[in-house]
Amino acid sequence: MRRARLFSYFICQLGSLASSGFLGAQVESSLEIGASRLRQANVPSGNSFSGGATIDWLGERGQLRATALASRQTESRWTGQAALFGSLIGNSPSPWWQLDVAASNYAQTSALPTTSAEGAARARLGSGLRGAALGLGGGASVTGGHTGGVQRALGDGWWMLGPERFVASFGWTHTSPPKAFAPSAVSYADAAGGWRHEAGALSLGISGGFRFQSSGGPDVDSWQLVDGTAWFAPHAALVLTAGRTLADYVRGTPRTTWAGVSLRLSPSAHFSLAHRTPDRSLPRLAVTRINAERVEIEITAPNAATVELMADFTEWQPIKLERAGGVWRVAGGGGRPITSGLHRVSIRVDGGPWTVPSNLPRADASPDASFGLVTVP
Amino acid sequence: MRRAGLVACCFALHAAAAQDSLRFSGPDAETSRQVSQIIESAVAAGLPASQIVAKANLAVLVRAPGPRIVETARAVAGRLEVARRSIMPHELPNDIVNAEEALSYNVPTDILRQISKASPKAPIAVPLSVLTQLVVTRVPVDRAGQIVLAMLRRGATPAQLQALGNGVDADVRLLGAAALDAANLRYKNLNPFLAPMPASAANADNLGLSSSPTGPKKP
Repeated sequence: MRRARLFSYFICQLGSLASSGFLGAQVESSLEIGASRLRQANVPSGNSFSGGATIDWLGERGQLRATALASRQTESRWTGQAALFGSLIGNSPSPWWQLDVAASNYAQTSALPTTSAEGAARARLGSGLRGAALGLGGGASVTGGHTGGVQRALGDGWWMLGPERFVASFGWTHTSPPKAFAPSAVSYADAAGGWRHEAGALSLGISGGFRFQSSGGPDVDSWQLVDGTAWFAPHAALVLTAGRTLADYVRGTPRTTWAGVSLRLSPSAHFSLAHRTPDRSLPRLAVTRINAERVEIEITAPNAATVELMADFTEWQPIKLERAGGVWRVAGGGGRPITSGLHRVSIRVDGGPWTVPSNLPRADASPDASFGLVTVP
Repeated sequence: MRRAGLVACCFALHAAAAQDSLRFSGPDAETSRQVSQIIESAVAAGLPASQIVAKANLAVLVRAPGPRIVETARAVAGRLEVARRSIMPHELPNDIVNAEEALSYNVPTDILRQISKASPKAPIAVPLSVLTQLVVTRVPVDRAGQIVLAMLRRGATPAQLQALGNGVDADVRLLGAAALDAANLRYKNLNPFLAPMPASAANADNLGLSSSPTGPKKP
């Protein structure tokens, strides 16, 4: 009976996910083609050409990533990998649980393919800015006629500071890989950390970790990964990666060391190096609520000698602003009483024409008159 | 006696100020008369008639002809009634005013109802305002509604909503791309600051289910 209730609960969660989050989800995709110099276990160093695709579906409570990569090292040596990752969290605003699933398939010429599937359940604490999660997972891996189970204990934490993101994780894994990968069951503990910087057109990441293997391999080993992405055009980016990864007994991927460059193409537009930086000399308007009644209005116009404001909350009467440091504010300080919501504004610099602040949406009141639309919180 | 007189005087002054805020003076007597009638009807219906005055004044400011001003006032009055019905049980005049603004940019009443339901207790002026800004920036209205609703459900603060609405137009001009892409990017960048999303796929495959990275980085 309890099992039936639990099952019904998760079906309801999936249903609410579908109804509230699915149709509003964001979909992002990209194609990637590149070249790398790589070395894999039992394979001499060589050049490789690769092509891949990734689709991300981002919903309010769920996330899916499907990714595939094919790589050609020689005429007779190919590798291919496809993976699917999914996550589901509890209801906002403070979900305490998270479910993850992953499925993958790895194949290479002259070797048996490996297919794996895993799931994990975590209890989580904190927000998207900083938090931690602990959980347990398990699954299976199939290579040829051999099926091995996998059990995991997982923990991770994350912290965002502006454009910087820091993550750390630890885990314990026990698995029974095929004899081709390891002579017996393998147990190991992992500790890893990573940093990512994402700002505008650039993304940089460094991550690495240590593996402490209690059976079936070297006692201590490590892995490192560095990547950089630069969007040089709204739909194209240059990606540089280099790293040294360990053998993945569950997914069947060998130990690999590589350095590569690739071109990423995306149908979604990104901020890019090609874009002009905003002209900071154009006047901009910002509003901040001081208290329940009053709002501070600031206009940034670094080269102005006089600045005036006209808005629905001034009954369309121009008011002169006074300079306060690097910005212009309503004279006398203390803000103005302005209701929350949408307001129309217009500004005039040095007695010139009335214009829309450069950072606000423009609404035309007539063919000759436009106003900026500002949301007052 | 003197105190009662003082209190009565204060009430009278307040009522006079409120009446003043609903006074409209148009470019000619006939326009003023017609718009004043519309205002009186709205007041009698319990609608926030200050919005009619505000938009009529705006029409005067841009030198619209008299008939156009009257037409504007009438349209606003009609939308205020629709707005009030659409966002029930929200009744705050400011909420109704902002719902009218959204309707004036052809936001469907369905989306207003959903926003009202998504925030049953808190005022909804700010999310409605942001919705209008997104639509004015040419974000498709359905997507604009989805973004605002998602942010409401994830506990976005008025300041976070404001940051989306006040910034997306500048992004459109900077990106030189579709408003939809700019809105999606802004919303995505707000993700970590809203109620938690699942660990990103990068986290999941790098550090979660597997302790060494997989995916496209691995040849």
